[in-house]
Amino acid sequence: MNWQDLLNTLISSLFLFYSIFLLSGYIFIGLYSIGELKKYLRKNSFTNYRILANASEAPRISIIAPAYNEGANIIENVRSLLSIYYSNLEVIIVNDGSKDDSLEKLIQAYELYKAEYFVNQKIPAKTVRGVYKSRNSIYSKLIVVDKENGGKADALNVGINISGHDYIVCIDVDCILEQDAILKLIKPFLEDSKHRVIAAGGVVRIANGCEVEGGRLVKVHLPGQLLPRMQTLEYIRAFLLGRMAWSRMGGLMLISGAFGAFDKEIVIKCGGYNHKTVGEDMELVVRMRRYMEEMKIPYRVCFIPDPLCWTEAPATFKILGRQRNRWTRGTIETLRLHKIMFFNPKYGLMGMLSYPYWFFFEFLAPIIEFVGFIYFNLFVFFGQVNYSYFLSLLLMVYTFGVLYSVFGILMEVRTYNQYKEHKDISRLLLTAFIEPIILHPFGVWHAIKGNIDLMRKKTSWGEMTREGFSTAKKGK
Amino acid sequence: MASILFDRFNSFVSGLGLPDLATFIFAGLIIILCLFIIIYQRQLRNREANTGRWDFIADHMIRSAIFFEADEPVEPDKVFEQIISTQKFTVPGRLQKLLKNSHFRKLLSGKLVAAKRNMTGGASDNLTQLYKQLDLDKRAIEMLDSSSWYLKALALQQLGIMGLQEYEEKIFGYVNHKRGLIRVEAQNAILKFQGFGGLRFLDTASYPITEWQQIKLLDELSQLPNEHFTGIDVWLSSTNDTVILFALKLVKTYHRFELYDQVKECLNHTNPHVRRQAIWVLKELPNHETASDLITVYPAENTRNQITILHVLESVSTGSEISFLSGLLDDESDEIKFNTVRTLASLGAEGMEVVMQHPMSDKFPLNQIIAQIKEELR
Repeated sequence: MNWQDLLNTLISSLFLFYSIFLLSGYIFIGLYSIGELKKYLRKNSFTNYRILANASEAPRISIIAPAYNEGANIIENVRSLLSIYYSNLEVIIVNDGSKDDSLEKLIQAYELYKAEYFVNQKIPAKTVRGVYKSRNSIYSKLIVVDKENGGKADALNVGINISGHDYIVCIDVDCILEQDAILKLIKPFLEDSKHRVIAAGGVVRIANGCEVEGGRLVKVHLPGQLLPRMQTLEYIRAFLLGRMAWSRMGGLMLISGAFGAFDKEIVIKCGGYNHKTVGEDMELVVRMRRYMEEMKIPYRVCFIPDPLCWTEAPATFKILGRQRNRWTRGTIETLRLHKIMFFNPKYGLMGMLSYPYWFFFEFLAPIIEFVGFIYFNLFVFFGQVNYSYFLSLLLMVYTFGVLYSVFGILMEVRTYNQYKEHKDISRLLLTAFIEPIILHPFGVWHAIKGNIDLMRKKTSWGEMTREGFSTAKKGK
Repeated sequence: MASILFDRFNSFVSGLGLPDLATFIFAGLIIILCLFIIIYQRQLRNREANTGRWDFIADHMIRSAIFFEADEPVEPDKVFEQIISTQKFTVPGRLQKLLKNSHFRKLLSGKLVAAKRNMTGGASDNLTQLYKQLDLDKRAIEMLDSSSWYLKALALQQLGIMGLQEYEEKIFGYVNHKRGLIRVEAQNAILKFQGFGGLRFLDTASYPITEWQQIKLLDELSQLPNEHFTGIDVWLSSTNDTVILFALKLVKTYHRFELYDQVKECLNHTNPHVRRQAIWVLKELPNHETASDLITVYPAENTRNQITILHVLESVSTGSEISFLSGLLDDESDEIKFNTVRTLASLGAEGMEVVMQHPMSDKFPLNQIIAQIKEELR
């Protein structure tokens, strides 16, 4: 065996072992999530949320929704938030220096006036230009804050400074919440006396194709377009399997920025959202966990498998690419900011398992996949390739990808069964076969671009144009 | 033949590499799971179709029980021909057969429990009678004796809501169970049987009573006629902090003024949550000493509890706290300053005068705080 064969065998074996390592991780996550899902559903069947909605002892919550150039739908979105079923609630809309007429529309629709308001800068943030309240008592829960543009993290920090309640729920203003979403999200904070629950997240689902009326989701459909449909499958896998398993292990590192609840006191002690990263949602959770570990305070980060929040997924490759690029940069920035935790036993499970998982499975996986692709092409070019071996490896990874997605669909059907129409499930199953050859390579490519952009110190969010739910009203 | 096939399979498998073998296994699993999903969804649709029919049968039976009057003759139901039972309620044979189906039993029990929750008087008693007549109580006891925490909790919930007091002793054995949900359902059941007297489980509660359970218990108690129950003084000195927290909420909800001194003692508790709750409770039991009692503990408190004290002082201040409050206007924390101004403003013109005369009143942040409070008072 010459040195080229030796190198070839060595690299091929490395790819094989990495694949087995990755696959084993996914198998563990898939199986481990079953118990947690079952336990949650059984426990939840005993809960009467009406009691919590009307209880005077229920925790006081501030919903914080940053808005930037959301003029087209802002009135409807705010109306939807104001109709949430919970008594001890305030809704804070932070207008992050919008260039459109969002503020004027809000002033007119909700009879707002500029109130005298002392903003206690517990977390440093951009200047607040004005705080608006309604003259109409029907909208007494509403506070609108107008501030200089500073990005989503900065807007959330202003919201936290304005908030007068103990818990904050941060959401994207254009998300559609289920009626009982807040009740379900806040309950974990009341259920644990031994640990301090510092954050809770819920399942975010794709609303493309669903029927929406008056800011409410009235009927669930599978998206008609392939791209959102592939993302639907991806979200099912990520939320129902991944996050449930991590929640069970007590190692959850990410709560979606689209919808999450936090203990405000801990958020402030940690300094609020970091506006220097594009992955502010993950970074905050990691920083809060790190703080609790360093302070040696027993804590938990919880996850609710109920579909609580519906969002519009990118329907074009261009927008989706920007999103994936940003997610990659956010992940790397967070991992870099907290690298002290990498295999550091001082940080318990997070240091020894969660952080390494994110490093090897989320950060490194696309890079290794991409390098593998380059390696394969080089060997084709030099006529050194062992086709049968590569085909076998590729088929193994592909079939596993499909199997994992099908398992995700099975869990969805066995639990929430949102897509009841016969053809919906057939189409979802078909998507499981297509997704690994379209969305996955696309994600890998944009993850690589994200790495390159980060090296070039690109810090922008990338514009996220949405089609709006009005098209969804027409059905599929 | 079989051995030939086996040999061929063996030689085929041995010729495969690890990735090929894994691919075959994964592909096989994909086929199995896809088939399972399709069959399962079909079953679900069939069950949903059945549910409509089951709903009708269960609702009919429950309605008959609710509107049943004792002097009515027990007549065979005209809709259902075969009558199995001649007990209080006529139980159609079709329903009796369906009771063997666990899904139907679950549906019927759920409907009975839901109906019972909204009923009182004779109709409520009838539902309990029906539950027993259908031997659902015996099923519940079987569930209680099972090893599943879920079935145990479900049984406790059913027995409690159905008011089956004959099982009280058995249920009481679960009020301090190590499994949270079982404990909670047992405690709720005892409360349903005994009303305020059921709170005796707090005497021995060694596990935490979570905030969620406290909310549930208070909701349960709110449905009972008000009565002067005893025991709060004991719970206020419990070694279980969550029992103290719950006892404080009871004092607040039922305005137990006679327990003022015991609540005051909680202001010196080691747990800051207990102290905070005690501060809130004193707001509901005000007397001429409340403000000075709170001011005494103020310097040793954490910022959160200090802010709570300022909130409570808004309601219980007598006017003699002005000098203490004016000193707080120089506090480092803007939050303390804000709440102090609000408390001083609640004392009327005299309090506001103190704020306005402060040397920093025209400078940030005091000027902005004053502007907000003045606007709120308008």
